[in-house]
Amino acid sequence: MGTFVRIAWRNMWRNPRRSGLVVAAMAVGLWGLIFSLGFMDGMSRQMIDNTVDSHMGHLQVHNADYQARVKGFNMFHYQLDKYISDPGPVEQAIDASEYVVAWSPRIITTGLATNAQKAAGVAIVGIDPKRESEVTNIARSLVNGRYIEPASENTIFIGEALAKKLGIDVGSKIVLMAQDIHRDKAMAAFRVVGTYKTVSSTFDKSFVYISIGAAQKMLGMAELVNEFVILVDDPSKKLEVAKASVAQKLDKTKYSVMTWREIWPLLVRIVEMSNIFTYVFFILIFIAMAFGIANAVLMAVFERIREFGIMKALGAKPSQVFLLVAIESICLGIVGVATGILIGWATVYYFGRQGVNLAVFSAVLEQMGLGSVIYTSTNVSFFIWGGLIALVTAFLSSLWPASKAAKLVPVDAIRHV
Amino acid sequence: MSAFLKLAWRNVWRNTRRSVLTIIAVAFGLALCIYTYAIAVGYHNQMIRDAIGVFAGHIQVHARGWDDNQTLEYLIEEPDKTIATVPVGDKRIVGLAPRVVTPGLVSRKLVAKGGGEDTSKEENTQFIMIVGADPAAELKITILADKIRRGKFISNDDPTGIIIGEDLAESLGVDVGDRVLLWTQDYYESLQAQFFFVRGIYRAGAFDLDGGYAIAPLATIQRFLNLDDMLTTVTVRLSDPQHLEDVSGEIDSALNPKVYEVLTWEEVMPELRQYVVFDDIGAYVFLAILIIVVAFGILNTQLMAVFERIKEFGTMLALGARPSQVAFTVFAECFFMTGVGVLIGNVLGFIAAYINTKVPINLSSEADLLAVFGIDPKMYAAITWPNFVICSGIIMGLALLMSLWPAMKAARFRPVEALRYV
Repeated sequence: MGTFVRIAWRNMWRNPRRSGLVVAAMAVGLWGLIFSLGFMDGMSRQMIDNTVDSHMGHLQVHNADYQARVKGFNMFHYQLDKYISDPGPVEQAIDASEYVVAWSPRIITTGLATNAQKAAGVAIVGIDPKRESEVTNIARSLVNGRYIEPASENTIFIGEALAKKLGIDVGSKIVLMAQDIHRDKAMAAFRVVGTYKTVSSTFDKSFVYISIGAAQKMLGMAELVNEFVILVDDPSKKLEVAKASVAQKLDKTKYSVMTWREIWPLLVRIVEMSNIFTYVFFILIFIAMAFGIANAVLMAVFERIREFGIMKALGAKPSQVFLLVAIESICLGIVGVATGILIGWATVYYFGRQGVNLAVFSAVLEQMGLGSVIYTSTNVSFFIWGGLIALVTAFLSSLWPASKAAKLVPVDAIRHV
Repeated sequence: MSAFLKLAWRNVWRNTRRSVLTIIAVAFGLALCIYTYAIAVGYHNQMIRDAIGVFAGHIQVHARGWDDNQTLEYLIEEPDKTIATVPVGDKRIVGLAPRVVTPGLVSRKLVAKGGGEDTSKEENTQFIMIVGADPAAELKITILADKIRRGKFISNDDPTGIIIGEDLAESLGVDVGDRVLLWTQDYYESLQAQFFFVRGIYRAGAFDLDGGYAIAPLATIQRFLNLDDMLTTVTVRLSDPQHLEDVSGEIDSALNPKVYEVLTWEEVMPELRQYVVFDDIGAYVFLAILIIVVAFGILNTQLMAVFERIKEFGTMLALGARPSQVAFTVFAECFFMTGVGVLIGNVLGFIAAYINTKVPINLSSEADLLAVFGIDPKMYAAITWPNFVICSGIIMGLALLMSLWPAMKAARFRPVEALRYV
């Protein structure tokens, strides 16, 4: 076996030009696959991260009747009247879980924000400012003025895009209107103390933050809250464990604990779909490549007919000749894969740091909840799968030439000119 | 010259197996290019056609500033004069629809069997765009009425009847016949609320329309908002999108640009245009990699063909063939081989795309995901001539470029050495 590998490896370099071209084709194909996967995956990951970081958190606890699942892309669906009537025990249950890093209570509902001239539909979020700043990045996204303070009853923190839309600035007064818990019209005036800016101007136009006390007062909620948002340690691995550890301490009939995947299943499917599409496309490319590899290996076989004849005359079994050709093709594959992975890794590493600037597509990216710079992701599984696809292609395309070589009749082959 | 062509053609078939493999690679690659391109053009056209046809129209006229702000501060104050600038009798124009569009809230109000409010059920409030539309005009220029799943379209005989999207109906928990409350700020910035009855539920296949719009008769909404006959939008539908620039230009020049904005669908929905370009670039990257891979195969074949015939080229040169003629022969061989592949690839690509113009790719299981981008889950291919010409041209051009290296090699052999080559 070792001898065959050595012969195959040496054969490969007998015609460096030909082998080099096959290796180059494989490397380009694999590089394209790794970059495309890294780009698509980076894009979907950013979409998820932006949503998780700015609003959703890893876990949410609601009243068991609350429909937390997001339909399509409509985030603005809140049920004020499905509240958690006794937040104390829930807080204790969350605090008791070793997986929880931070948590924050919220009141959330839809309403209108108006100043003297203009109105805009908004999601009104009542928060504990300190806790919220540990869970989401809204406080860190401050652009002008300052973040709201816990005790404040009349200050509001809004998106810069909303401020622009309403034609107001830090220091201006706005009125929030919504239906309160008793379905009466509720109105309260607030002073804008600061503005924030996330990557999505749709988000910035929609979410306004007041202290939870102010929200409870305005909406007649006393000590009630709508949801708890929780950040988990190492969510990629421990999301489900963390969910279970919080849920086991809570009465299932009264509360529901959901992961972000359950709350917004569409996001998860977008990632899956885009990866499936990329793999399908590149399998097609590798099929096109297989013809080129088969051709090169076939040529390598036909120019060595005499050699194979001698090998067989000396006692090599057909299966050994078959193996020799297959190994030669796989050797080509290995060099191609190594080259492809190397330049693929360098590319996704570089663009993972620098990002791909797509400012010209800001409108469509924003619609997807993305900023205009996409950072490619370097997921090890892409290198493994891409490499496997390329090696399998190399092996499959050697089957025909290898069986040709194996079937040669020694006497004829030796006499072949 | 013709002798060299004949030589080249015969050379192609000297090693049938090798040539056939290369031809298959070219044909497969090209067919894949043509097919992918046809699908992309097909579903992009479908997306644009749907977005324009369902609601947006080709051209929208607003008061300057409306599109950025979408509030009642920016109103078309003289609707008759504005509408008069659109040459409606013109063959290029299908029709126009006057509209009022403003943000507001909708909440469910259930009516109990006894007639009073059903207080046992919870209430649900959603942020939406409230639209006042002229039923007859909408029937003429949009296909929204065809998208009604349950109930019927809005009508002037039913002033408090509205239609909403299926997603909104579901998240509000209402159905045809149920009562909902719309509330928003009116012209005088005071809060107004009014009950409406859901008469129809539509599925437009676009997530904003399906989840965030409530459409009622224009006159009702104008009264609700105290607008008299003022409008926010005049939407124009063209018979053919090629008249877009002409017609929007004509309307634009007839109106005072300080007071009005005349926007094409590309300006009203910039994300749609960008999506198409973005998606196209993705497809180009994929096709470029595919073509490069195929081109390496062609190059390899042609190089091998040259190096196994060194003696032959030596003989040709010794017999008096000029280096340029030898190069031409190699060049022509590559041209013929790729040409056969291109012919087969065109036929295969056409057949595959043609089948998909009749039978769509059905992604109905992913319909909700695709609706986010306004993509119809039934994707049809569109066959356009540039597709075949561009794809074939690129692969042919690249093949010829690739054959330059082997051709130069062949031309530069020195007869004496080449003849002695073993």
